[in-house]
Amino acid sequence: MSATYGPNGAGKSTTTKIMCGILNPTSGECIINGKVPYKQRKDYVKDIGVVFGQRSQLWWDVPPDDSFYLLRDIYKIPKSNFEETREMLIEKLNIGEIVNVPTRQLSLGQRMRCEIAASLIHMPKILFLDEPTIGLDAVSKITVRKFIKELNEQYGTTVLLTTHDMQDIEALTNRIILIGKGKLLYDGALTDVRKKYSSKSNETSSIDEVIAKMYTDMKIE
Amino acid sequence: MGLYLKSIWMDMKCELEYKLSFVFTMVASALSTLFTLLGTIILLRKFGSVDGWTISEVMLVTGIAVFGHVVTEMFGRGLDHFYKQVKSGLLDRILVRPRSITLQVLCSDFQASKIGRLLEAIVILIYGIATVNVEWSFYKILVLIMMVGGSAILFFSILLLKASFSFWTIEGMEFMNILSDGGRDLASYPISIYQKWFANIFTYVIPFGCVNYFPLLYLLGKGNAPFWYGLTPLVTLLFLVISFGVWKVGLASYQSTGS
Repeated sequence: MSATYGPNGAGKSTTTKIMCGILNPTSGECIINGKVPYKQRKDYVKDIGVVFGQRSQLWWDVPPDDSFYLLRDIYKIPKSNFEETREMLIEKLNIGEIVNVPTRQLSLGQRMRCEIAASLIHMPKILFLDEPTIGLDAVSKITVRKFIKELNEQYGTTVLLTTHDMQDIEALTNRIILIGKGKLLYDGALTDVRKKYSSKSNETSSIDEVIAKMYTDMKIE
Repeated sequence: MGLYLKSIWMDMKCELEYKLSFVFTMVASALSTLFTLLGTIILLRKFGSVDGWTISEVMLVTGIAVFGHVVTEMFGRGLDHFYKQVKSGLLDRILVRPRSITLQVLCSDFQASKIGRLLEAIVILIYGIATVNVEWSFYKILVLIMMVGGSAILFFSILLLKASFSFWTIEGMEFMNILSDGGRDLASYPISIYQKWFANIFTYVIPFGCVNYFPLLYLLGKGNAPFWYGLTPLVTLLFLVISFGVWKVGLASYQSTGS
């Protein structure tokens, strides 16, 4: 599990898009699972799940459960696997009561839990999360985080998280990749960042302050 | 194909979530064609014929144009509104799924409410076929089938072109409607009634004339039209191949520049 972090316009989304096979890079190469996403798109994307926090992938006018069934056909998931995964996701994400309500009537928190379920219905090896907790209330945020952690531990799903929410990162992972202006600034443990930069100011500085400080320092270098 | 049918079913469910809107759209789209058609009939009754074309012949020409148009409206709506998918980022969702992009775009929308207009088109077609003065043979029936199919292919290709342009710009999409909706209205008459230069555009650039006018000349034996006039609807296949090429180029360009 890793988290990509950086200010607005740093290139987080573009990087994610390249890794999802949506965009071709202008230069360089990207190999995931031994495949080049943008060249072997169909073959590659069947093993990934993607959640774009600000875009829905559920059919808006019908209940999420209908979307799950259509996704089963899109991904050609065998029936028994599908039923098993579907039940597991419904239970763990606590969406049993809402999967039969039209998506447009769901709250953001409810919808996001269904979005995550939809992106995992084919049990991908890699899960891309682009700001999965944006705009969520505390309870939904915690459910989502807890579930992602469990998924990573139980099923060994690789999770690549892109976020502005430092608490997401703190709760989920220790590996942080910091980018800015299209360049890799840092790739390492979050605890190391914390040690290095909070000692310069005071010990109690919040994680947001630590990152902000580190970012200013990086720019100077 | 299984996925396509299931997606269409899903699209219909979504559409039927708004029942009143469904009914209104259905009635409105049927009425708009009906009024245009009534206008044509009234004019033809007054003058008996247009440039030597009888009511039956014009109905056949109209039927073929309207049928091809409405079929693509029903099944190709995803292409028609593709620019919205590009704008809203829904295209990204399509790209991260392991199915053909074209198939997914076609799956994304199906307009069941056009059923009224479709029935109308079929009635016009049947009226034209039943009353037109043609001695039917096996080859002539084949020509007729090619005319109807060619018309659908042509309108579909125009939608595909329209969708392709949204990879480069999402502005000015109304311009393309001139070709689809405008094309239907213009192609509802035999192109011989238009000015020469105009008729040429509709023969060599966008081959509307090839799906109804030229093959009909052959069917009716007008002006000693040779038998190969009956094969002109096949030109639409070339048009389709070109449109599909543009579509592919557009897609590649989207992937290298982003939104």
